[in-house]
Amino acid sequence: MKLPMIPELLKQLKKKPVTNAFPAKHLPKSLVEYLEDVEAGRAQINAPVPIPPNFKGKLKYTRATCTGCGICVRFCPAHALEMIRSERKIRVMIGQCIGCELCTTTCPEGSLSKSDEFLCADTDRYSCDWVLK
Amino acid sequence: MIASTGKDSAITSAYMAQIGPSHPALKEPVMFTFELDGERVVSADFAPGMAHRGVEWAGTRRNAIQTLYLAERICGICGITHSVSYARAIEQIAGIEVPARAHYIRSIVGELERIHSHLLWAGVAAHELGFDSLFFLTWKVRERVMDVLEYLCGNRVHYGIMQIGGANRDITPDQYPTVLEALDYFEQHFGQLAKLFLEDDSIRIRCRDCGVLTKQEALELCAVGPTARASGVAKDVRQDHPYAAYADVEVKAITPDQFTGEVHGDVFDRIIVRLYEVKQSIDLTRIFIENMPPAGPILAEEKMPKLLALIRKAEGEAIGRHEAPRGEVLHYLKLNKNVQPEVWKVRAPSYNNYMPWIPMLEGEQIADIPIIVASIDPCISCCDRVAFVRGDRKDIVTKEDLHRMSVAKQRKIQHG
Repeated sequence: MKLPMIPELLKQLKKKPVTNAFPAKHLPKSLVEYLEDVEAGRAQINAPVPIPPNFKGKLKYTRATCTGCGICVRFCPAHALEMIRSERKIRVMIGQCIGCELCTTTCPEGSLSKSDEFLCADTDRYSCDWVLK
Repeated sequence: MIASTGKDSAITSAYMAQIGPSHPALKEPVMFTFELDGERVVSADFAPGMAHRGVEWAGTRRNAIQTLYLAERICGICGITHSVSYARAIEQIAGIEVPARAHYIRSIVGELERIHSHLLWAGVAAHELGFDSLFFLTWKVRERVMDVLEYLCGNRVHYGIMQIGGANRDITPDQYPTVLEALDYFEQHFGQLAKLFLEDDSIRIRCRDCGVLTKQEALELCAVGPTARASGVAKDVRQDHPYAAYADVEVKAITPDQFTGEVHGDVFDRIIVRLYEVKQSIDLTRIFIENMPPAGPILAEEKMPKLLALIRKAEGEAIGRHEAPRGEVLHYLKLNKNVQPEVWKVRAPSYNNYMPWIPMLEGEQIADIPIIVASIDPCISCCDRVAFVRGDRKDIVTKEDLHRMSVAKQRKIQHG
């Protein structure tokens, strides 16, 4: 019987795994403690795979330049942007953002931009990290 | 669930078995009912409609540009396909001319998506056959396609690169080397994967003459895409009705007889067709990159409010077609001087490829069910349209109800 996979598998034994172990090489006993250790400088974080240029990461909102024209609110496909009428500014709900880049390209003032940040997980959907004002 | 067939059941006791709607062997919700005689499938039936999301309803309640992004989310794998066919429908109605460069961007990303989808399927097929080492090897190659798509579009899935009247992002000359390098990598691994899939005796024994769909059945049941091509029906939207940049190159539908000299219409032929389509996509992407038109506009209308105003003036109906990795996608759209589409109907390719399951499954063994079901590359969530869930109640729509609804919808389309 012809089984070409067997020499292939033997070759694979010598190769390194493709998976990048992030944030730690081995699962720590407690991830929270591990991250605290990283912050205190006692442990080294295993770097993530570098992100490509022009990555559609977490949105950044510059409140000062926003004129409150509302174009972004009108076009956001996920209704992640809200108008604060009294202040003529917007509110960005990161939890709803689908990363389509439509708001950053339509904003005439360039108040909305994308960042390289991709770690957006949170347990509270109304936390200050998730609602940009 | 066991049911006796009657008085003569002492000799042949056929029994019924249900698989689904939720089952570890099925990736998506669909319910199968099999009549079995020992290990053999006597007859098969299936009930889709477990994952209805009301996408079309939602799409007619937001403006046409927002709906483009919703269209992309009909399928997690063929995002480009749905957004391009939706955009093509709107462009036809509103008379928007797409710049030449945008046509090439659409084709390049579409072909990369095809490589991604076919490699994903090849991995799933290997897994269904119980050949997990090959599954991991295939997905290792697929990971590189995902990286390239992320590099070009900024997202791994749901690329968001398409726009009505062109593309949101340009593929700049400094990005070409990375893409070409990745194409070399795929080409190098394509040889290896083709050898493993096509020369391995264990795969051949499992898949040859298993789940056969004859050319006649494929034509009668309107199969599309690789499922139809594996049965010898040489149809491909890129060949028959070229769109985007496909008119500039010669695309030929891939059928198994080009490689083996004969058409069996079985699972193995579907593997052959999909693998060689990966090769075809690699070649096409290379041609598109080499022949990219000079730098220029990539959007017919760059300002979104102006584009929306253009759509608001448009009136009429159109059909947008696109050759998805699974077959032909069709978007019917009607605009009626409004920002939101009046009617939007999507026909995903898996919808056509459901019916061939029945002739394929009949007479096969239980152990071959997973690979036969997977062999059409079903995307069940793409095409669920008829189940209604309100509170705890779930209504199954009967044929009469469907007919009544169909008549009502036709009237709505005709009379606005």
